[in-house]
Amino acid sequence: MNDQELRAKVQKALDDKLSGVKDNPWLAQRVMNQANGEEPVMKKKLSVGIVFAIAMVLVLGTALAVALNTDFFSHVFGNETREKVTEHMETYDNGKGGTYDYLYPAREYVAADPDLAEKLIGSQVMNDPVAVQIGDHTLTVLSAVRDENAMVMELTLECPTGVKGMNYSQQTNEDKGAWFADDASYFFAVDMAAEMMYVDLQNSTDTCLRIYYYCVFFEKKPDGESPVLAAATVSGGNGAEERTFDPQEVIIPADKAVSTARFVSEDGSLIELSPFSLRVCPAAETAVIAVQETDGGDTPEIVLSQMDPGSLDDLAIEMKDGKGFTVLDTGKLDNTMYMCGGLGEHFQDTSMVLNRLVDPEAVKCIRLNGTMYVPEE
Amino acid sequence: MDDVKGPDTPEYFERMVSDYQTQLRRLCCVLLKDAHLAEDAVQETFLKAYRSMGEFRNDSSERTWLTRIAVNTCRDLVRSRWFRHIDRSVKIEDLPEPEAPADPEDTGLYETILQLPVKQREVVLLYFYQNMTMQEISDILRISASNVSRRLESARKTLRKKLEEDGMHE
Repeated sequence: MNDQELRAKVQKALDDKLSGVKDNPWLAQRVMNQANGEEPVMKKKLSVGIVFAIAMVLVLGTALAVALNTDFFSHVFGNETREKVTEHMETYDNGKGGTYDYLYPAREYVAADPDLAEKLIGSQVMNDPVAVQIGDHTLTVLSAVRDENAMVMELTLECPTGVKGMNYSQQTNEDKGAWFADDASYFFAVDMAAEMMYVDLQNSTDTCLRIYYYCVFFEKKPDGESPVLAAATVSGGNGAEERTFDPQEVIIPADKAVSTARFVSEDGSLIELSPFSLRVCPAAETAVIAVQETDGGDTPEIVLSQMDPGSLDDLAIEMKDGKGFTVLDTGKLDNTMYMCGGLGEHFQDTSMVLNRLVDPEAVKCIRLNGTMYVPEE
Repeated sequence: MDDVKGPDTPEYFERMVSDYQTQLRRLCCVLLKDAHLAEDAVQETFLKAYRSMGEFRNDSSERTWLTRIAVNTCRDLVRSRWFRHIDRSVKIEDLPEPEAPADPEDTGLYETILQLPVKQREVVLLYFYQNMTMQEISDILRISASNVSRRLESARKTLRKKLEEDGMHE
C-alpha cells in the first residue's frame, strides 16, 4: 500500500469518525470579545468525561482571613518560616536491591524587606481570600502575585478531622514539592502551569496545611487576565481508572501582572527578570542539540532540544551597588523555588521562580554560563 | 478566499476562523483524545493567533502558522498537572458520535491512530490527514525533516499492520 492509498484510508477513517465534531459559529466573535477584554479569557472545561459541578467559590470577607502583604512577602520570599539548607547527600533505595545517592543543593533564604517588597509588587498582590470546598477539605487562596511568566500564592488546605492525601516533608520542600496521594479525595492545580508546592512545616498543623505555591505559566499570561485554579473532588477507588473527578474552576483575581525588565546578551539571547521570576530565552542559534528517546523506545532522535534547566550551570545576579547573589551553581547551590524548561514557541525557554525578591531596576547585569546579560536599551 | 480586507480587520479574522476551524478542531480532538479539551484548545489557538496577527509575516503559510499554534497549545495542555493526574485512557465512546455509523474498518484504524505514541500521532495527522509536506511538518514540530520521516515510517508500519490484520491491505 503506497502513501496515497494509506492517506485515503486515514482521511476516510478520521473524517467519518470525527464527523460529529461540530464547529462553533460564534467562535470568531467570542475570540475577538475575549481579546478585547469583553469576555473572560479562560474557560477551560477540564473535561474528564463527567458532568461539571457548579463552582462553589466563596469570596470570604476580610474579617475571616485577610493576609497582610507583609506576612505574605515574608512567608513566600523570606526566611522566617524556613532555614538555610546546606549541600547534603541522601541515600535512597533504588527498588532493585541497591541504593543510589542524591545530592541536594544548598539553599540560602534571606529576609524579605517589607518596604522594598511593597514598592516592587505591593500594588499587584491579590489578598482577598478565595475559598473552595473540595471533598471534605477546604482550599483557600490567601494571597497571590504574578507576572507574565510565573505566579506565587499562599494557600491553606484545611480539614477539621485532619488533612489527608498530601505527601510532604522537608525533603519534598527541597525537591519537587508536595504531591497528591493516590487516595487523595481532592486535587488542585493552576491551569496551564507547572508548579512546586512548599509546605510550611513550622506553621502547619494536622488540620491546616499552609502551602506556598510557586508556578510557571506555559504561555505568557498578559496583564488583565486572571489565572484559573482547577480544583476537584475525587471519589472512587485507588486505581486511576476507578477515580471520578468532579472539577471546578476557581478564578484567582490576580489579574495585574508585575512588569519585567529585559536583559540581553551579545548573541541575541534574552533574560526577562521580574522581582520574583526569571525567564531565559536563548537565541535560536544557541539551542542545544541533544539526543532524545522517542516514545515507545524507537531509535533515538537528534532534535533541536529544549534548553534544559539542567544546562543552566551558573546563574548570578549582580547589583549596581556591587552586591548580588548566585541563583544557581552547578548543582551545589539553588536559590530558586521552582524551575521549568521547554517553554516558548521553540521549547527552549526556561522560567524559574526565585526564593527572594530582587529589584530589577537595581540590577547591573546577569551572568549565565559565563555570558553577560545587560539591560536592554 | 477573500483577501480584500486587511489582516488586522475582523472580517479577515472571521474568514480565517471559518476556513480553519474544522480541521484544527479535528486535529486537536485526536491529539488530546478529548472533544471538550479540543474545543478549548481551538479557542486558545485562535485567541493566540488574533493577538499576534501583526507578527504573522507570511514566511510560512497561514495554515502552517495556525497548525503550529494548535500543536503547541495541545502540548501545553498535555503536560499540565491536571492532564497528567487524571486517567487519560482512551474511551472511544467519550468522543463525539459520528453523524453516520462508521465502518468497522474505519473504527479500527481510528483507534489505532489514537493509540499511536503522540509524536507519531502528530506526524500522521499532519502528513496523511492534513496533507502537509515534510518541510511544513518540520516547521510546525521544530524537528528536522529526517526526524519527521523517521516518525512517519514507524507510524506507517503500525498502520499497515493494522490494515493487514483487518484484511484491508492488499
